[in-house]
Amino acid sequence: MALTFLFAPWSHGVGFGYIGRSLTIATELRAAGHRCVFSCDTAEGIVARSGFPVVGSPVPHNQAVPDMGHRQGQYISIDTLDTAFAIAGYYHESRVREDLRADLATLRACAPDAVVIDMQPTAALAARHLNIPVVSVGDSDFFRPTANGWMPWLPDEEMVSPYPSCLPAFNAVAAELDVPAVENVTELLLGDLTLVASVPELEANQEPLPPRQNLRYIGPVFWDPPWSDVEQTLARHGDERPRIYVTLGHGGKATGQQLQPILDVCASLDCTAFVSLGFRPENSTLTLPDNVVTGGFTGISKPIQWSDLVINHGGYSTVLTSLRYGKPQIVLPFMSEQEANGALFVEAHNAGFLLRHTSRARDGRQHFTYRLRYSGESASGDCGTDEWRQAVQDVLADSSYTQGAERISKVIRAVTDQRDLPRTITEFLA
Amino acid sequence: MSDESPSSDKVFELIRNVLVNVKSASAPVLPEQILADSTFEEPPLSMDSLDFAQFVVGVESEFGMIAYDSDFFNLRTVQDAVDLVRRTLSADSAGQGHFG
Repeated sequence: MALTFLFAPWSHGVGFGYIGRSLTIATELRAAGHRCVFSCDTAEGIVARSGFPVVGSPVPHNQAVPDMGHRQGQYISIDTLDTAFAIAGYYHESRVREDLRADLATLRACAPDAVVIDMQPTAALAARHLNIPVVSVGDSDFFRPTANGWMPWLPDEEMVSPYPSCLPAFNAVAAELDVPAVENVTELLLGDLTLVASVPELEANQEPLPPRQNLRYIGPVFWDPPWSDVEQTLARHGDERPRIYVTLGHGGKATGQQLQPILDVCASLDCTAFVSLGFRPENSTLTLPDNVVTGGFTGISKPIQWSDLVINHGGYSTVLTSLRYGKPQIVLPFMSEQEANGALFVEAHNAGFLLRHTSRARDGRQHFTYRLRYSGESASGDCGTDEWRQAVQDVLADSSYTQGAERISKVIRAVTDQRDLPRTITEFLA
Repeated sequence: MSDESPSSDKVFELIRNVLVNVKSASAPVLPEQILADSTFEEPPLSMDSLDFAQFVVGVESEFGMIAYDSDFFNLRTVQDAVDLVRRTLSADSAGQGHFG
């Protein structure tokens, strides 16, 4: 029987991983004969371009990470899921209520057989109120109620979120809908079926996820735009020299400025490189060397497979997909959980390293200082060409990084090669 | 601007109190040091991103408002904040009223 699924990924501004992951699952469900619609789209209209109807009227509001310009600095500090929700304004009951109203209207109009969320709390609350099953997809840290869970390398007492907790607001509004209260906002994301985009071995060095019936590890889920011609581009680019793939994501600040020193290093090394520029307009000012080719929004899996080394920002999907294909990584994080991804998934398995680490400054103020891998303490955290050159040379010269990545790749593929998401989801709903 | 909106002087006074509280843990400032044309990024305020986030939350709490407006994050001076708060208070609030 064909089912209708409403996909409700996090849509509060930054990062593409949530919508990308939803697009992949929706595409597989559609191929299996089911109907999939979305509650939101990207500014570029990628959901609609992929052939999925976008229903409902998302409430316009500020981005998940407000544009604080120079005040933001180049590192975005988000210590927990609660803080991520707070930045979206969910510590205000009225704000939760506003988005919930929109989600309820969408669900009533769409009448889906299940709602598929990806870090989207109000759609989950709306679905529970209407007794519609919730399938929740997410990064493993979405579901871990650990204090400081997105910045676990910092002692808990060193972090003070500037925002109030969102828990009282969520519970107050949930009570109005006769939806049970939760003890931690991470519980809002636990679905009737919870699909964690990881594998148990990658989580073994972290606090266990809460025991939950119907919580399954599905490995990384990534999305490649079907209209991308990157495969042909890559086929024309590259020779016997080492191949470097550079992708710094869409959510961070100052990612554009960090690209140029990487390109300068590529120019000085005997290598070829491919750079995904994504949506960022500032990249038009980059100076490209002859051995570097760029693409726009290319998707990640093809360039990763093409490469010998992936330079990335530590985005969850990018890190895990690079591991999936057994590629070593150099991670330059621009925000909290990206640094955690680099430490816990890459460094912990000797599949590469973080180029900079963050710690709290010791001057009594709550801001961060940086430690670069080679040049040490840095107030700005900027990585120059010397830093990048050393990092690239070290990874390319040391095969143990590739071996570490290949070892984890086998573990991940043991999960993803067996994966049948439409079957997993529809059998659960039956 | 409705008649019920607080005066500019009153809003300034309350915003100044919020700023004193925000700065108290790191680099304390006295109320009289904060002027309408004080900028957020220069002394005596010298606010970083965390200070500013705390300031926005403090203003929301003090005035019972929501700082949705992205303009809030592009303020330059204390007077800019006073003006924005007064504008926001005079606008219709959204999302009020319980379910059921």
